[in-house]
Amino acid sequence: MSSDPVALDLAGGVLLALALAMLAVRRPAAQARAAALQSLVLAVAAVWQSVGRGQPVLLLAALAALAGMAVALAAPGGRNLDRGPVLLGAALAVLAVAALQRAEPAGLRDVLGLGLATVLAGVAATARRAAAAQALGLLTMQNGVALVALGMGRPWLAVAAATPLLPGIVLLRRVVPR
Amino acid sequence: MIEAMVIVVPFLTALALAFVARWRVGVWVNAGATTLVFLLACLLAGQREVTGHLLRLDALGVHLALLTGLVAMAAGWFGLAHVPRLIAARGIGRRRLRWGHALDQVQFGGTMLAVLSGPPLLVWLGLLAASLAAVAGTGLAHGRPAMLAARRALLLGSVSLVLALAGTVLLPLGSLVGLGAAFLLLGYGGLAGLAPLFVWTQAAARAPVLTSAQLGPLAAASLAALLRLRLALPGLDVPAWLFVSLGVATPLLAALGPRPADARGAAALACSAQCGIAAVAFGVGGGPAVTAGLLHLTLLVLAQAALLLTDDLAGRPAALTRAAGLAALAALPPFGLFGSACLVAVAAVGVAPWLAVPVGAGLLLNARMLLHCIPAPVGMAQAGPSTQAGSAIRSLLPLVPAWLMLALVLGLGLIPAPVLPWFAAMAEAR
Repeated sequence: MSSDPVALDLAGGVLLALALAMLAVRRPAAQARAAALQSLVLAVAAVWQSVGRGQPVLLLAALAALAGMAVALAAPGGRNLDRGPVLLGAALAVLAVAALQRAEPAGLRDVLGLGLATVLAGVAATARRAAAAQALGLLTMQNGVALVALGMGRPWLAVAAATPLLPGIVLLRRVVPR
Repeated sequence: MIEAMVIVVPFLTALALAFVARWRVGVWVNAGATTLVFLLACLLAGQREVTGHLLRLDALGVHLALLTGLVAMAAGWFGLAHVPRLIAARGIGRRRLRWGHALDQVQFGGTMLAVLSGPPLLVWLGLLAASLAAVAGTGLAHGRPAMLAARRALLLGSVSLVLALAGTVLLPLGSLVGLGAAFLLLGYGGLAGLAPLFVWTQAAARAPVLTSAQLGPLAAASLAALLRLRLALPGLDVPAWLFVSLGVATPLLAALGPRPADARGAAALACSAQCGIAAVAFGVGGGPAVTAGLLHLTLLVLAQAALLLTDDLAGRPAALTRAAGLAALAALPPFGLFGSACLVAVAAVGVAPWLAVPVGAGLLLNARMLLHCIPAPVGMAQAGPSTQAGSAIRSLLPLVPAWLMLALVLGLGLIPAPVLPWFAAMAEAR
């Protein structure tokens, strides 16, 4: 099995679509499931790259992404969320993808664009009022950066991107009041 | 070897403090460890420059390590008198205080790691540790306002960190260096208190005083990471102008936004505003501007620490010291920030004369905001009755760290010539 840029592009597309879906939904459980699926897709992509490139350290990034999935699923329920800035998130995503169409190397354009678009959609999600939605926005940003690092073939950056904010996200979701 | 110890000792101390149940012992361990690290940082000043795989020992790193160590040591010694008062006032629980000391050391060690590291990822990890420790420290105080401040600080700090990480990832790609630099600028700029994420410093300033006193060095470390980027990429115009724009916008937005509720909030906003002035200098670039910016950054860290280290102290000397701290942070003469701000303005006007208007307006509005806090600093202890003659000296002892900081801010303002070559050497660092 070898490293496959198309598979990473596909993972990036799914990540971005889920990030935009998270902005659109108002039910906390639906948002948590979308975030968990996003982390799962990232974990699968990391395992795929780990095997394809022969970089076992990427398995750590996959483990961190699975931890992120657990964090997303351990969701407190509660009232419906406020409306998310879907148009802003979509506009930022289109801008990111368009801005990177001349980036070099050409093989990285799509994954970079999709990863950065996911980061920006996550930034838009942090503008929501509910702490749970903000925490999942942070998780989305983190997943986007990890995807970019995966695409660039920088394993330690991918691990660093997927791991360190998790305690903060747990704190924001569970400990700090709304 | 010494540079590694400067980084490792705070983290080991944090580990030890997590197991020290008695808060009186914890306070002394905290003060002793910060003093030891400051002395080790002094030894760094005599060493030659070294660039290794992990650590980088240059003039800028040594200077910031000394500054961070000095502020942490002053906060540690201030804690000897401050913590018993905090316990007595039930401002924080004893068990939480133990974690507070450990978090202070993590913040200290993280800042040291950020200023002495070479690889960008290690710099980011240092700032991550320091800022998350500051956020956790913010949530340690009792009450809902502290929790809400912690939530806001956590969210904005995390957004800044992720943006900075995105910049760190993109920077090595030659064709995307401008975009990577822009992300880094927004991320580290946010941690330093620059617009648009400067609310983070206001939220984190609600932390107990020993934690919030170290926010200045954290901001300086973040700006230094950006300065290194600016010096490494001198021909890159987009980050330079973004640097200047964010720097100009910060004091204006800070002064024109909602008025802070108390002197602590005002001090945090003023610190952001002065960081903006330093950012203008770094964005303008060139030896004189960067030298002025570094002097300004150093003085603002000292002035902010002086102001915060008078927290909850009563009596006329404390009130006067607090007023002097506010005046120093407002960049009023004869304090050093006045002189360094003038140097920044001169350097900026040399490149773009129109910069005089926003920089001058930002400084004036910032001074006006702080001067409102001088007569009756709300949120900090008011001037109380004069202390009895027998305990006069004991009541003055907690003010010694603040006086030390103010003396440095005043001395560097009155006679800056001897230290300017030291700052000029830093401006040449790569």
